[in-house]
Amino acid sequence: MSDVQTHEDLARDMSTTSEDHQADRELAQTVWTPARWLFHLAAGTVLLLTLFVSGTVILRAAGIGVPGSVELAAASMVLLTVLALPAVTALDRNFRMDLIDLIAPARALRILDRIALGVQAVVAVFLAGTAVLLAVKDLTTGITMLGELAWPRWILTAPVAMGLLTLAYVLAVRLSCRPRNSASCADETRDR
Amino acid sequence: GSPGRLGASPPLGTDVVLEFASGMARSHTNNVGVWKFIERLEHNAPWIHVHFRGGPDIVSPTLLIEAVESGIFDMAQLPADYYVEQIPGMEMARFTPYTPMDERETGLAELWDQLHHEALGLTYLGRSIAGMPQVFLLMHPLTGLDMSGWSIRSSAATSPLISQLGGTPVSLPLSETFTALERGVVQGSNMASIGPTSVGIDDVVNYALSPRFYDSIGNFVVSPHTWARLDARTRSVLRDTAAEIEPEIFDFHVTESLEETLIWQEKGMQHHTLDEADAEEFLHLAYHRIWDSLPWQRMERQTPTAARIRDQIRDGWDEHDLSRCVPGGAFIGIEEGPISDE
Amino acid sequence: MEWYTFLLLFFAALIVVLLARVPVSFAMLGVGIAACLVVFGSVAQTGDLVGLSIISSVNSFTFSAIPLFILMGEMLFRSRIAQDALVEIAHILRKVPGRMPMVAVAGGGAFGVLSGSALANTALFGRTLLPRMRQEGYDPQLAAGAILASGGLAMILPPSAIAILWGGIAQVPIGPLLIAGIVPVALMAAGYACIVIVWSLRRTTAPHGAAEVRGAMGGGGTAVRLAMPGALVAMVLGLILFGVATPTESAALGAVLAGALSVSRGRLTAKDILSAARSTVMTSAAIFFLVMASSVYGQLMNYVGVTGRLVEWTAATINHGAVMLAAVLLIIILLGAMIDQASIMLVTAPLLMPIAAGYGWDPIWFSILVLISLQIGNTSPPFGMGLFILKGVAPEYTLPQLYRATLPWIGSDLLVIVLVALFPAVATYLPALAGLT
Ligand code: NA
Ligand code: NA
Repeated sequence: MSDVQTHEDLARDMSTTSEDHQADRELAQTVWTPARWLFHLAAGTVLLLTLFVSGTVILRAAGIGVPGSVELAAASMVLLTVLALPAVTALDRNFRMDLIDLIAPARALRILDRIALGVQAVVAVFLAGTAVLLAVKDLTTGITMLGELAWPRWILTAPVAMGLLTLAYVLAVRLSCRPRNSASCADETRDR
Repeated sequence: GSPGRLGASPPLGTDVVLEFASGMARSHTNNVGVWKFIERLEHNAPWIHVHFRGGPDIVSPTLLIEAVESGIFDMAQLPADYYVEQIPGMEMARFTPYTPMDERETGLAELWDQLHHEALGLTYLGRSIAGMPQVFLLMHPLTGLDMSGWSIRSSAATSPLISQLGGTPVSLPLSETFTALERGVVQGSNMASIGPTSVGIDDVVNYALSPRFYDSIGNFVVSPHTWARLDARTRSVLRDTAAEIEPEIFDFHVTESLEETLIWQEKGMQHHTLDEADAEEFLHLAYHRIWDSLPWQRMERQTPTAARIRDQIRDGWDEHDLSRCVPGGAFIGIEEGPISDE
Repeated sequence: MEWYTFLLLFFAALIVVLLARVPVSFAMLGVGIAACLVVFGSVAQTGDLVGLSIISSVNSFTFSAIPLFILMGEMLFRSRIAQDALVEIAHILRKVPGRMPMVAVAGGGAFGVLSGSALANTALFGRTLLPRMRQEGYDPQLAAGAILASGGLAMILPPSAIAILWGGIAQVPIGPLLIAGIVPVALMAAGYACIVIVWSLRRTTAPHGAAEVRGAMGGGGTAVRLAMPGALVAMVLGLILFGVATPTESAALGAVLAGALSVSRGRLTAKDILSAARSTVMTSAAIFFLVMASSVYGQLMNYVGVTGRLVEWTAATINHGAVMLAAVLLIIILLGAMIDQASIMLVTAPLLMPIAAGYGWDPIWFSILVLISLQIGNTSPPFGMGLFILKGVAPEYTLPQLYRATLPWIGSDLLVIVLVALFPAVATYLPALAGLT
């Protein structure tokens, strides 16, 4: 084993690129297109935020305050969460308790999975409903966001509604897929 | 509260249960008005039971007004600044030249009620906080009204004034303000005149600027759903009790502001009092200049009453010198303590 | 309904839904929404409360440090700057017995800081580093133990995403919290190093892995490879320590610098940066959705008065602080058998922090104890989640083997917990010295 190889191996062992590629492949399916777009928007948000916050520190050092920067950075956390959530859920990357996997037979697990997806779908529909109502309220009343900029709050709540509607769509797709049945439901058969 | 609410007492005859929330945590000094109100209400109306459900631990304080609108809470106490996003007309509250008692006498209190109704259907009962002016706590004396080169910790309500003075407004959580002052990251902080001692700010800053300005306003509001189901007797006792307790609430904050200022003096903080011309210019900026930049269009579109409130507040300024338009006092503490005019 | 009936029913429902393999965030939301419907008796009010929670609970400048730190780490890993540093460490340690397990612990710790989940870490390293260590002839139990323990460093090593999460939830200022972790994490690392050395010395045959792992990669010598990521982390912590910037601002500057450094060395393309951002968002969104879900639950517990009554009840029942502290830490360790650390934090913080305040415990000291306990819970026999994750990716191990593998590391962590508990200064001295508390 040469030095270079060993180094390469060690470096590769400690990277997540293979996981990235798997996620990218799965998200590339047509059925996940809305989730994929929002996910890219979320990634763009985090890059913009990085540059923006760094910029404010430098400007502050130069004696120039950026009003509303703290509020903007805070609100972008809501944005990146709801925009990325459909993709996270499409790939089934939410935290879960896997205790039952160790004891239950495969058939029971498949039934439990359907139930779990049903629960998630109901929750997602409720969330989407409340988010849509909130966005409509913001559009009609002109409620603004915290801070001096007084931007209209629908700038935040409309994307939240969009993200949560997409979440409901993602779960509807996953619920309507029979495991091992369709190429568009790869995530259902993964890890089985 | 609606039947079936967990923890609510069952209705006894005509008993009324009110689920109450505050913009502040239970033990916060800004809730003193709440406890005074609840105590007086229980005395005046034994059939009313107020359940204090909590503060920011239940709903984000800046969204609390929407929870009251929805009926999640029957009533709340919260600073006017916490709901300018929902009711932009509340921007005018801190500019008031009147004590709560004067506002009632001149009919302004009724206009505030009308404004709440027009915006979210809420009922405004009265002030829960009043008589606590804003103050600049500074590391260095302010010369020539020039804050350029200074970063000052502030809230959205006072940032425009800091910008007017050439300074850089910085939003910082209260918990980080002490360290930021100590490290010289900020050269001062704008705060209400009650509270800096409780977070140790008075240990690090050197000067309290006079004049003080604005009033820190808190309001009692009632949900539209609740108001609709309350009987006439309960409604009027709620209104009467709020009016009855206001003088006590105002006195409490004025006295407490003075006492805290004396603590600052004992700790070695100095008054930095602007000379007459600078003080006049300072107050002119804080009141007239900032006032002109308020979102008037948005306010009047949502609440036509805003125009009447605007006129009445302006009339109040014209009656006096501006230094007499700060309800809690522009120069508190100065006559009492060992003055060191820098 | 009494408060304890509500609490028990809520948790019973939550456990049933969790056992049905519903993700923790959806489970908390589902049970929370159902409970709100019971408490308020109104769909509209429940919807309003949930809607307001969604837009406010992660709407926090403090939390924005989490994706920024994760992004910084992603850049360092994708550009392999972090791995270079680890390889250098491996080289420096070439004469030390148990070199690879030590690198595994250090690498796992460094990586876990970013992932926000020690469990994801255990799975990744169980699939990659574990077979490699076995190939090189290390004791299988030492190899497994090192990977399980590496998550422990990740919990506390600043700037740990999970520590920031705890700070945000429990309302503990994160600057001092991150600084407070430095000494305890050094103690944990020292304990781990002792385990590796003693274990390796007991063996008669040396591992036959390559003794020399430095390659002809990149530019610069040892100093540069170690100095770059070292200086970056030192700068980030220094900005916090000296109060020049908030943790969020330090994180943003760190991410920009990590990116600039990697790009300038030709190690990172625009495509890599986008991919780092996507990874960052994937991890952060899962964590923040959990925060949204737990906020509905926490608000409801406060509204119904469970929190206040629980604090009163514990204060009246257990009047000895040390007993209470032991009980609290034991509960956290036991919960580690069921769910990941982020979920445990979010379920327990709304109830634990008021209890801590009731007993007058220093919030930073208490937080460090909680963070160490979370790690122990994850790797504790018989049901620690980490053990089962590792068993899943390395089926050649039997559970009893894994139990034996993890025991020394748990023993070392317990020693550190006892030290911190008895001498709070271990955690609180550094932030106090820096004038942060
Ligand atoms: Na608000
Ligand atoms: Na918040």
